[in-house]
Parts: sequence; structure tokens; C-alpha cells
Amino acid sequence: MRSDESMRAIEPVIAKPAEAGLLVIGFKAWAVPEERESALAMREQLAPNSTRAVWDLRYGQARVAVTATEYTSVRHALKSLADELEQNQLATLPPGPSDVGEISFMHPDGVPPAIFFVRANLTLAVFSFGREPVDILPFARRIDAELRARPKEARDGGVELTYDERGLRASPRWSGPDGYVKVLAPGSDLRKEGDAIVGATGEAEVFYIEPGRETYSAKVKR
Amino acid sequence: MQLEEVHFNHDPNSANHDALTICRNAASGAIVAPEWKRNPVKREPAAYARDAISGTVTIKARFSGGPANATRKIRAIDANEPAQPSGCSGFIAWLIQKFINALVGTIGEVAAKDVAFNGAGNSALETFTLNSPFLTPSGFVSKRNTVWRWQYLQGGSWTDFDTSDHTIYVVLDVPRAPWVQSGDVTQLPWATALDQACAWAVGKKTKDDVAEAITLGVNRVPNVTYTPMTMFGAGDYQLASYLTHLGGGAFVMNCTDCADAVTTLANLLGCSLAEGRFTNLHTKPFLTLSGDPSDPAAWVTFNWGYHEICWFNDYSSNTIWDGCLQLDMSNNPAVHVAKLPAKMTFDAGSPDDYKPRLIASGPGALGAFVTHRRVV
Repeated sequence: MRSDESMRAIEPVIAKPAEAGLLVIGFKAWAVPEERESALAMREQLAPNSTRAVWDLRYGQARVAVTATEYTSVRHALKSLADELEQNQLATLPPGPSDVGEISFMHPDGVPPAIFFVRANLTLAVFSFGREPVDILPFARRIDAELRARPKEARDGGVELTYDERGLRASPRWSGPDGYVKVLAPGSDLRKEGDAIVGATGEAEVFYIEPGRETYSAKVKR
Repeated sequence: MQLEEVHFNHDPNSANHDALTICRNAASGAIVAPEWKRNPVKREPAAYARDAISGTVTIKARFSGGPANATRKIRAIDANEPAQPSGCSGFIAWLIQKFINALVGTIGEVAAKDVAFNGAGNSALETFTLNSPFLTPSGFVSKRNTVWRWQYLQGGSWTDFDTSDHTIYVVLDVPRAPWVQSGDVTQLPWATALDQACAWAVGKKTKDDVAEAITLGVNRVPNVTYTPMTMFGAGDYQLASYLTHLGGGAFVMNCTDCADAVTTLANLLGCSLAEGRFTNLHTKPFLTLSGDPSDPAAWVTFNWGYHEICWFNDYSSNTIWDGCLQLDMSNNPAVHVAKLPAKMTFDAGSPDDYKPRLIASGPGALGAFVTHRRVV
């Protein structure tokens, strides 16, 4: 799909004020909520900012793959989605459901199912990866909901926050290879500049999330 | 007496009389001779480019425990050579073993030479001639499990004193881009990629046959299905990931992935393929990746913004390979005749050329030429 075509749909989203107030740092594709009765079969670091995970589903040869690529901001991710879709052979991609991502595109009927979307500063893709087609929409919706959600339970502490003129820095006191940082600052246009989180206005909550372990949080008010 | 080390790539600047410079994978760095060492134990593969060889092929070896201040004649013979058969079944087993050895067995024999030992019984690093029928113009692509019995001559008869085992790849020519022989060590030929390429093209003697075998190999991977999205990278080619998936469960790939695999693996064996795209086309029915020609659902059509395939050198050759699909060569819509596009004319005015067999409508105009992607 040519990027000028996808950008026609993406540009209005970029032009909107970016106030979602969500930034994700260090996210890995295998950190998404697991499909029931599935087994994580493969985890790949495709590039420094890009990962892929593959799950075997319980039935037949069905598999699902998720790729996650991290950018510095939602705008950067939106522009990059157009570049990524250039690597799709299909001449056009229909829009995906409006409740998935800031914007989404998906494969049409009759083509192995896949959806491509942006949430926060991530581009995400969910593919039916095996011989048997899988409905990937429920999977994509769960991933998107998980990314948007404020963790239900989080222990205060464990994340050190410092502010300086360059912005906010969040340092988990300890971190595993699968952990990531989620910054929630409603109404803010968040972005990364080096190791600083820029753009937070008002209150910001920072969570350190590692699948299978306790989530830690810290709060700061500008 | 014992063998201490063996050097195959003893001249890293040349592949004319010794092995190529290779690595295990992108992260390993170059394999530096000696490829075989007793202590500390070292076992690294070696690779030869058949057509690059001119004159005598040599290896180097060093020994210890020899006679002090004396000379011994030393050689190495094929330890895989099957014993003389007895009986009919023995003869059949011997024939089978001979065939397997010819295909993937020891690369050749190390010619005898006099080796001088010092007062401590150690030799210098000695140059030996490697006599191999597989490094002559009749050689073919193979991964050779080489096992040598090292012998010395005493009293007119040869006595075994050691054995060594080596993995040796034979490719047809020096690997072409993206592969290099100097510079970026991550782009040296990977042994992990040679394993796959040699498995698909074993026995092939010509570059055309190699390119076809690799195209077929990519197309017929049983656990792969087609998706329109590139899965193994459009900037760099995620070859390591592809090789991992080949050995795992089901996965999907598109035309860019197929063209990358065909170009990269064929060029590893000495071919000269590159990748180019043509744009905006509605296809005729074609047999999808790894599809069963007898399954009507495997004959599909698409509206593509682009399709990427392999070309001999560049567009000017008008000669292509496509591992992503098989064309329908039948003019009868009720009957499908599958043909893998391998060394096929792209478009020279015949209705049986690749382009008219694939495109139902749309310009299919030649687009950006990608040449080769860096492997990661």
C-alpha cells in the first residue's frame, strides 16, 4: 500500500491534538495479554526498537504473531505506520475498526487476517501466522485495551522519578528483560527525547510492568 | 604422534587456492584459521568456491609427538570410505554408502609429503595439497562431512596415528552481494545460511540449477503460507529470523521475503541475482506459496500495489526467478498447469512470458530496483 494513500487517512489523526497522555518505553511484543489456551512459541528481537512474538493456539496449526515497534511519540508512530504499510503488497488496505488504536488498517476478507494499528508511540501488527486463519480482532482489541488501561493494582514505589529542565526521567529500581514503563498523563502530548519523557503537564503516573510480576508505580505533579 | 591443527582458509585475501572467509552467523565474527585445533578444542566449518579455484588447493597442518630431529611422510585419507562388501546385501549397502559419500562425504584426500620434526618432536605449520574431485569443474554444491585418517609411512606401510573431522561447504563461486569477503564481518557468508542453501541445492553443478533449486526450496517450504505483508524486513533482511522459522512451526511471508530468501541464498552459492519490483497489477489466478495445485482454493488472485521478484543481475537481463508463486500456464480456465518461474523471460512479447502469465490488468511497470538487502 503506497504511503501517500495511507497518509491520507493518517494525516487527520496526526493533525488532531495529541492528548492521549500515554507513552510506553521498552515494550516487547510478548508482553501482551496472552490468548487463552495458547503457548508462546517464539520471541524475536527484530531490531533495537522492534520485537515479534508468536503464539501457538490450541487448535490445529493456528498461530498468531504480534509485532511491536516503539517510536518516540504518537506522531512518529503514525508516520511510521505509513512507511510500514508500504511493505504490504496489497494495493489498498481497508480501515480497521475504529475502536482499535489511534488508527488501524486491516487485510480484507479472503486474505490471511492481519491488522495494523498505532497505540501511543507504538506501531502494532497482529497476524494470523499459521495455515489456519485466525480471527485476530479479539487479540488486537485485548492488546489495545491493555496498553490504554491504568494497571488495576500497583504497588507504590519501585520507580524513581526525577524532573529536570529536559523533562521527566523514570528509572525502575530493578527491571527484567520483559518489563516496560508506561506513562499516563491525561491531556498531555508525551514524547521521548533521549532518556527523558517530555510533554507531561499536570499529574503523571508512571508504572513499571513486567508480565507475571507485581506492577510498581510512582506519581509526580509538575 | 598427533595432529595439532588444520588450516583451510590460510590466505584470507584469496579463494584461489584455499577456503573462503566465512563466519558462523552475524554475531560470531570471522572464522579464523586454524579451523580445527586439538587444544583448546576448536571445530569451525570451512567453505570452498569451486569456480574461484585455480591450480592446486592447499591446507596447512601442524603435528606433535613426531620423531626427534627426523622426517616422516604424512598423509590423510577418507575415513568415511566404506569397507569392501561381502555378499549381495553387503554390496547394496556398500553402493548406498558410496553414493552418500559422493554426495556429502569427505571432500578429498590430503596428499603425502615429508614433514620434518624438531628435537622436541614438533613440526612447523606444513602445507599439504588437498586432492578433491569436488573442487574441480565437475564439483557440485554440497555440505561435506569430512573425516580424515591421518597416517604416516613406516617400513613401507601406512600407519594410522590420528583422525580429524571437518564440516566443509562447496559452493559454485565466491558468494555475491549482500555477502562479502572483506569489510563488514556480519556480511561474511554465514555457516547457518550455508546449511540451508546447501540443503536445498545439494548436487547442483550450474548456477542456473542452483538458482532454480533455491527458488523451489523457498516456494515449497511445507509450513509456510502467503501473506501480503513483509515479515522479514524491508530495510535489512532478517535472514536469521527466517532460518529460525524454517526450523519451527508454521509461518507466513510475502513476495519481498521470498525474493530476499532466493537472492540471498542463491548468491551465497555464487549466483548473481538481485531484486526488483513492478507495480500496480491485478493478477491472473496463480498457485499461492506452497499451495497444492490440485486444490482449487490454492489458485488465487490479488490486486497488488507491487510485486518483488529476483532478476539475473538487473532489469536489462529480462530474466527472472519468483519463489513466491507458481504461474498458471494453461489457457483453459478450467484446468491449471503450475509452473515455478525459474530463469523465465519477464516479457519479450510471448504470451507464455512471466508478465503476461501473471498480470490480468494494470501496468505492472518496473519500479525501484532493490538489488540486495543487508542480512541481519
